[in-house]
Amino acid sequence: MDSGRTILLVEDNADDQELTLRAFQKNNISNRVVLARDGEEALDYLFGTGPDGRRKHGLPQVVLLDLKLPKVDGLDVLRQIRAAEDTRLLPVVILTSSKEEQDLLAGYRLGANSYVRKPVNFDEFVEAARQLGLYWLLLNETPPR
Amino acid sequence: MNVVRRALLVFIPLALVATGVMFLFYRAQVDASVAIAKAGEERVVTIGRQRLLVALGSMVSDLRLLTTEPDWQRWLVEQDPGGRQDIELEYAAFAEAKAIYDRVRFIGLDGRELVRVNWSERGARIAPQGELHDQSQFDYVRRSLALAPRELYISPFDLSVEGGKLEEPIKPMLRFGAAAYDAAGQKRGIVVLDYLGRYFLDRVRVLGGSSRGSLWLLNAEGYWLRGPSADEEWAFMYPDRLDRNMSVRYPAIWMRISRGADSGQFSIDGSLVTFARMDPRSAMMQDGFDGSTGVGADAAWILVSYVPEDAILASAAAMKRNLILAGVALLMLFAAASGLVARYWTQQIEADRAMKKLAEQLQRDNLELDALNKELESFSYAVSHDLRAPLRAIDGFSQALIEDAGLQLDQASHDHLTRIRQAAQRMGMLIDDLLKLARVTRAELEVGRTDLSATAASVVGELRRAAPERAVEVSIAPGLSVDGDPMLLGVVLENLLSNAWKFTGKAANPRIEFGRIEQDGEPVYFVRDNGAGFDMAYADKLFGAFQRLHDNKDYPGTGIGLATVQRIIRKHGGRIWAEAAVGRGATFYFTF
Repeated sequence: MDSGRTILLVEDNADDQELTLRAFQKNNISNRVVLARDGEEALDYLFGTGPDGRRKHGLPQVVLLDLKLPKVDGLDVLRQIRAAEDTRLLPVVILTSSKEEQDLLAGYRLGANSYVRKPVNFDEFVEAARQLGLYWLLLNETPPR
Repeated sequence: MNVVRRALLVFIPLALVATGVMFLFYRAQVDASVAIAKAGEERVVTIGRQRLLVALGSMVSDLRLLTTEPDWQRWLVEQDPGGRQDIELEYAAFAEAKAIYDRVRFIGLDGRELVRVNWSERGARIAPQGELHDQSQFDYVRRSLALAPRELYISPFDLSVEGGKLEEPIKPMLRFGAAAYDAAGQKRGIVVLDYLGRYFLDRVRVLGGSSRGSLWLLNAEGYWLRGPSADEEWAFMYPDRLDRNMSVRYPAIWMRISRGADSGQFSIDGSLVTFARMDPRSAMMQDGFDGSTGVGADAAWILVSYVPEDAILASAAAMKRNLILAGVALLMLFAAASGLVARYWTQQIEADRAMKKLAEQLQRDNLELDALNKELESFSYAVSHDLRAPLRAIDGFSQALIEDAGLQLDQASHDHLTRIRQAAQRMGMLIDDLLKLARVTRAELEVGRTDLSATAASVVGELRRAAPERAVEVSIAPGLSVDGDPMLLGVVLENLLSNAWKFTGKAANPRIEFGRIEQDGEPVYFVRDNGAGFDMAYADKLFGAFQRLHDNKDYPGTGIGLATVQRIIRKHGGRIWAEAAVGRGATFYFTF
C-alpha cells in the first residue's frame, strides 16, 4: 500500500487505539496513522490550530472518527469538518461502538461517508479493518485538491 | 349544597314563569269578571227601571179608568142615591181585583171623603158614612184638587202616617190623585189611590236578585226607599235618622249620581255602581196624562246597583283559589323536577370533573412515561457505547496474547484464553439483544399492511444463506398479510423462524411451517417445527427475559428473543402461546 497516505484516527480509548493499530498491522496497512485522543486534537490537526501552529502537513486520506469523545464529541468534529471549505469533501468514516439509530441518522445527516460499528469479536474487527483499508486507502479516489 | 344551588337555578325561573302566567291568567279572569259584572248590572238597572215604570204606568191607567167612571155623575150631578152605592161596590170590586191599593177614595171639593174602600189581605171593606173624614189638611188632597182635566198628581213615596204618627208596622205609601170633572166640565171632586208601596219595593227586591250586589231605590234627596238594611230605609221620615242617606254614607258615590245624568255606571274603590233615574211623569205621559208630582225637585227616583269589589271578584276569587291550588301543585312538581334535574346536572358535572382529573392524571403519567423513556434511551445509549468497549478489549487482547505468545502457552492456557474470548463475545450478544428488547419496548407502532408470507420467506432465505449446509423443509402459507408495524413484525418472524431453525438442528428430517388457522372465528398464526421442543411444564418461563430451556452448548442463545417477540405481539394487542413436547417439536401461536 502507498504508505504516503495518512490516516487520522480519532479515538479516546487507549485499548481501542491499540486494537485498531493492531488490526491495521495484521492487515499489512503500513500507512502513517495520526492519533487524536479527543475532538479538539482532531480539529487542531486538521485546521492547524494546535500548539504546533500552522498546518505543515496535508489532509489525511481518511478520518476514522469515534463518536463518544471528550471535549468536542465526534458529531461536532464532523460538523466542523463539513463546515470548513478545506475539509468539506474529506472522507470521514464513523467508527464507533454504538449502532443506535439516532447516532446512525445523525452521522449520515452530517455527511459521514461511512458508518462502521466496532465489533466485540476481534476477528471481526480485523476483518473490518482490512476492508476499510482496502476500500479507503486503495480503492477509493479522494476528491481533487 | 351545589345540588340545592342548581335546583334553585332551575326552579326559580320556572316558578317565576309559572307564577307570571297564572297571574296574567288571573288578571284576565278579573277583567272578564268586571266586564261581565258591568254588563250584568247595567242590564239589571235598565230592565229594572223599565219594569218599575211599566208598573207605575199600570197604576196611572187604573186612575184614569176611575176618573172616567160615569156613576158619580149619576150620583153627584143627578142626585141619584143609588149612584153612590154603585160607586162603593165598584171601588170595592176594583180594590179586590187589583189587590195593591190600600185605599180607593173619592173626595169632595171640600176635602171630605165621600167614598172610601179599605183593602187588606183579608178583603175590601166599604167605610160607612160615619167613618169618613175631612182630609183637606193633606198636601196630596190640596194638590189633587187643584188639578186641571187630564192632570195627575203622584205623591212622594213615603210612609203612611195615621193620627200624626207613623203606622206600625211601617206602610210605604204612594198616592195617586186626579180630579173628576162632570160632563159639563165642572170639577166635582178627586179620586185618590193609596198604593201599597211594598209591592213596588218587592219588585225592586226581586229585580235585585239578578244583581251581584245590592239593588237600591233612592229618592231624589238620596234617602233609601230600599237600601242596605231596614234601619237605613225611610230615614227622612224619622227626625233622628236624617243623616242616614247616601250623601253621608257614600258621599263619593252620591256626588257622581247627583250630577243629574239619566243613567250611568262607574267604579269607586273597586266597587261598581250602576244607576238609572226614573221620572214617574214619563209613566203618566205614556197614558195621555200630564201632571205634577210631589216626588221632588227633579221628580225622580234612582235605581242604584251597588256591587262591592269582593262580589265582582267572586268568580275570580274561586278561580284564584283553584289557581293557587294548581300553582302550589305545579310548584311542588317543579321543585321535584328541579331537584331531579339538579341531581342529574351535578352528576354530570362531577363526572366531567372526574374525567378531567383522569385526563390530567393521564397527562402527568404520560409525561412521567416520556421522562422514563428518555432515561431508558440514554441508559441504552450508554450501554451501547460504554459496555461494549471493555469487551472488545478483553476479546482483542486475548487474541493478541494467543497470537503473540501462542508458542509459549500450553494447551490449557490456550483453551482458557479461548473461553475468555467466547464469554466476552457472548456478553456482547447479550448486550445487543437487550438493546433490541429495549428498542422494541419503547418503539412507537407504525402500522401498515404487512405481508407476513413474504417476510417469512426472506427470513428463511437469510437463514439458508447463513447455513447452506443444512437441508430444512420449509413451508410458508402464501398470501398472509396483516395490519401491523412491518419492522417489528419482521423481528417477530425473525426470532420465531430462527428459533425453529436452531432447534431443528439435530432433527432427522427438519421441517418448519408457517401458516394460519381459525380459532373461535379469529385468525391465529403459527410457526411450527419438529425440533427439540420443550417440556410444557416450563411453558410459563418461555417468554421471560434471560429464560432458557436448553443448554447453551446445544442451542446457543441469549434468552431474550421470545421476550422481545411477546412485547411486540402485546404492543399489537395480540396474544402469543406455545405448544410443545420434548423431542417432538414446538408450535408458537400468535394473534393480533
